[in-house]
Amino acid sequence: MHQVIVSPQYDKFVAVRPGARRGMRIPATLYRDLQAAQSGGRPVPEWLSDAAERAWGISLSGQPTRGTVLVRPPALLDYSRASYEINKGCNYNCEHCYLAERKFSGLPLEEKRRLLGLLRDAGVLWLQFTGGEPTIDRDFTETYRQAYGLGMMIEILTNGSRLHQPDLTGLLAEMPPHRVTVSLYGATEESFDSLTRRKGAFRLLLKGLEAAREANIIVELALIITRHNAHEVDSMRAMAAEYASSLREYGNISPTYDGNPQPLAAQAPGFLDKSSVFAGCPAGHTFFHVDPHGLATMCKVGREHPVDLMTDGLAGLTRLPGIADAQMLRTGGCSGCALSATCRVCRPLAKAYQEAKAPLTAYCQHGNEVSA
Amino acid sequence: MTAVDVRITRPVPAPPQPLTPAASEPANVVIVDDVDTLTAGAVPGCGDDNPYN
Repeated sequence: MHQVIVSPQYDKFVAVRPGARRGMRIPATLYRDLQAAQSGGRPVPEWLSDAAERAWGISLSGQPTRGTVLVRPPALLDYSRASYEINKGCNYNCEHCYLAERKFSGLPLEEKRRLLGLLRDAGVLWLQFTGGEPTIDRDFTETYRQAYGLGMMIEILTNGSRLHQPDLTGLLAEMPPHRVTVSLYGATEESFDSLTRRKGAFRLLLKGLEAAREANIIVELALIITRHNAHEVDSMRAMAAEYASSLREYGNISPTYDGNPQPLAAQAPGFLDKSSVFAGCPAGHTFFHVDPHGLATMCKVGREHPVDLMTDGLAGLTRLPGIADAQMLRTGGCSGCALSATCRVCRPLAKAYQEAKAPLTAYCQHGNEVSA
Repeated sequence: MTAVDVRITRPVPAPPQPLTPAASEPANVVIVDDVDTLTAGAVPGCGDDNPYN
């Protein structure tokens, strides 16, 4: 199996190593040199073995390029990143979940494989597995192996409930992901199990984090701050310091992507971030989202006019930039807004808030004016 | 519907020209400490891929 991936990315070239924090930018001339070394059956060029030693502390000297370095060809499209919602099914029942439904369904394994081939051909180097809970999909292991073998840098968004199982930690140790992002729903059994509505969930998480640490798997903790755990934020940060290489905090609870207000009840007072301003997004242009049935949309929230990748293939993806632009138009109550330059959320998310009849203070600067 | 303006700030990308050196392309290998910096241009405007609960 490859140790290094070298890939075009837009008009540049990168060299990356699964599981490693460092990476490289390389010039086109050296990319061509690698292509030639691969096709000519030559060993890894000296410039790459030197750089790999400096960046990753590994020796590639004298090893054959083919099999050691996965040199990805120029892509047919200009997408470098995608998220794949392999299955919306979940073993938890979180109050704050943004999914409209959590059905256990998805493509059969052979179609999952075909889908990954399409993503590779579209240029996807950075792939995120999400769900539902992706690791409980019956094809997760095979699908992960396939994506890894195609030369993708993989992130997994997970609730951590299966991370303690040896088959999963073994897979991730053998084929290191770019990152495993584990959602943290509290720092105690009481808050965590209450939010996930699953008894024993916190205990499973702790076992998973311990197992990941032992296996040297890179973990990021995503602190999901809600009314159930806001009083434990400091303890949650301490858990991140103990178990994770990085953390992110999320205090803004949104409606479901189709505008159901139910998750908003989980919002923790005082944790709604009103300072950040939306400054544009390349969704649908350089990255996209794929649902369990192979339907591609601009992102996880803007799901209008999905492109059926399984029937339309890469040709269908060429429609996605236009579909994305249409969803970014400010319409409805936002048309002509004088505060449009200071929107806190993108248009698709604002639409979800509006359909949920959420208070303006949840997502809009006009709410600040009203409440001031 | 009435469209006032567009929030997309990035134009539709042109087909890649990967074998032509870009103006900003390094002459040699450049090692970066944080591989995430290589994802520039494909990061969601909401900050990352997990902001929605």
